[in-house]
Amino acid sequence: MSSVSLNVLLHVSRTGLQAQQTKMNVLAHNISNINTTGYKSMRAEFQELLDGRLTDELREGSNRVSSEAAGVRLSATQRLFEQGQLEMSAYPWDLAIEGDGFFQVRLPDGSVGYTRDGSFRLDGEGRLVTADGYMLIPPFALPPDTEDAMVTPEGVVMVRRRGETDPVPLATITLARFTNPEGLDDSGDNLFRQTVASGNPVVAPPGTWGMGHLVGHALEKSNVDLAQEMVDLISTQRAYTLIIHVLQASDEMLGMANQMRSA
Amino acid sequence: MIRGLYTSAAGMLAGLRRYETVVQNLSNVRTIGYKADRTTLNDFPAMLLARIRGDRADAEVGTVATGVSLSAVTTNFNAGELRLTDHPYDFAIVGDGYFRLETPDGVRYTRDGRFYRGQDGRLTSADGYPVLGTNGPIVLPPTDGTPFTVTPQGLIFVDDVPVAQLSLARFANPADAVKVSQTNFKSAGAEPETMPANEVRVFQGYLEESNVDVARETTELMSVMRAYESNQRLVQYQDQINRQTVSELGRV
Repeated sequence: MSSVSLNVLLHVSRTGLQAQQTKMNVLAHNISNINTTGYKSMRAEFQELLDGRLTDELREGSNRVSSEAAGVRLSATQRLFEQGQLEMSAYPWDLAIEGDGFFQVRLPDGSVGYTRDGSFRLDGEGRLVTADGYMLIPPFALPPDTEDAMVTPEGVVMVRRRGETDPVPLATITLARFTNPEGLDDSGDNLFRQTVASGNPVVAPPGTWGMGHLVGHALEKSNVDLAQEMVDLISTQRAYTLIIHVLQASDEMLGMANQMRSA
Repeated sequence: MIRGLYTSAAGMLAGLRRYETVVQNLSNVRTIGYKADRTTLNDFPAMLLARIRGDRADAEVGTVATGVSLSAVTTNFNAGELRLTDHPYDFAIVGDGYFRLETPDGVRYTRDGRFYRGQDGRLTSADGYPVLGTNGPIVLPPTDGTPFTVTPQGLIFVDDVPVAQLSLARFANPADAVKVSQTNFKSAGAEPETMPANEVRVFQGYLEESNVDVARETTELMSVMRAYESNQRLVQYQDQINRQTVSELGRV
């Protein structure tokens, strides 16, 4: 009967600790972004470890009937795209999406980025840019003599120019939707990029093709649920402590094995 | 004397096996859909000793125990607690049943309901295997934003149109479900039957937590440690007796 080495079990505990640590990092990231406009909370996905070498070590000569896996591994983090609450703002170009869809922006490398953060500003030429300076797609420029402008829930930009009484439509802001937003690449800075997993976007004006509506003078708050995060934080911390206990036990048992031969 | 040494060593090894199970369980205290393992120990068959003189056995001495070994690792199939996540692709099964997954090694069964929409709209498990419905892998059509809903009976609606029925498996003998990984099972006996839709209870937006009982595992951990320690002491004592026999009794 060959034995399971205590060292392998130390490894199992170590992967457990690492998984809890990563979970903790994800939680910390969520909590620190609780006030980030358009932030979508992340979730750590645990998955069993199927490390071949380790598996063989555990299986070799073992009469175990069950588990072939060893330890825990974090496979991926998942974004949760639930709607965040809307917060009113005084600035007319703060836009929030109520429902599905992303704003499209032009990134410096020419590719398209997707974001839920609608805190737009006007640049020197009257174009809408994000807080980081990326231009909104489709691009349009407000005429220099604009007196008043607003965005309808259907994304139509209405502009009233000096000397006129009625606003006229200038352009339509379109949104992009993905069948599988969880597959989007998370490039940081509140931006997402298209991947094979996310598929191609459907681009359409707000309110059509399942897109949400635009709300002016509003921003979408982060969808992080603080109570939930705190509960997760506590149980993650407890799990971490537990595994530490297991590690200590392994260490003591190794010590006993070492002292087996009385002096 | 030497025989006793082996008996104690067998006790230490069996302790290690029990310990392995505890480590696995405690490492997976937060793994969705994980089912805790339990170990059962068995004593080695007792041996009948006989005194042998020359080439014939003339008297029985009695039986002697030869130690202990791990007989089986069984899985505790009790349900874990349900946790509300409100995420539309999270599912928990209430009562009997397993989700069916299509893997390269055949159908696997799991209670881990963290699914997502994979490529081509396939409903996919957290480890990337297609989830099976009554008509093969479930493929979700592209939607125009209307939510994807699943009735407690496992009927999947997209845009208020039924697109598939989750296929849940039930083992006639629960112990036929054998772990192939932390949360995936295979059938060790007959293929399980498909549950009729009216007996299925699936909750969307919930997950089933690991059923590891922390209090039980920590007490198990203590008991394993102490048993290991006792066996180790016994090895030491027997070694000491051996030493005395060799060094003092043998002194002429």
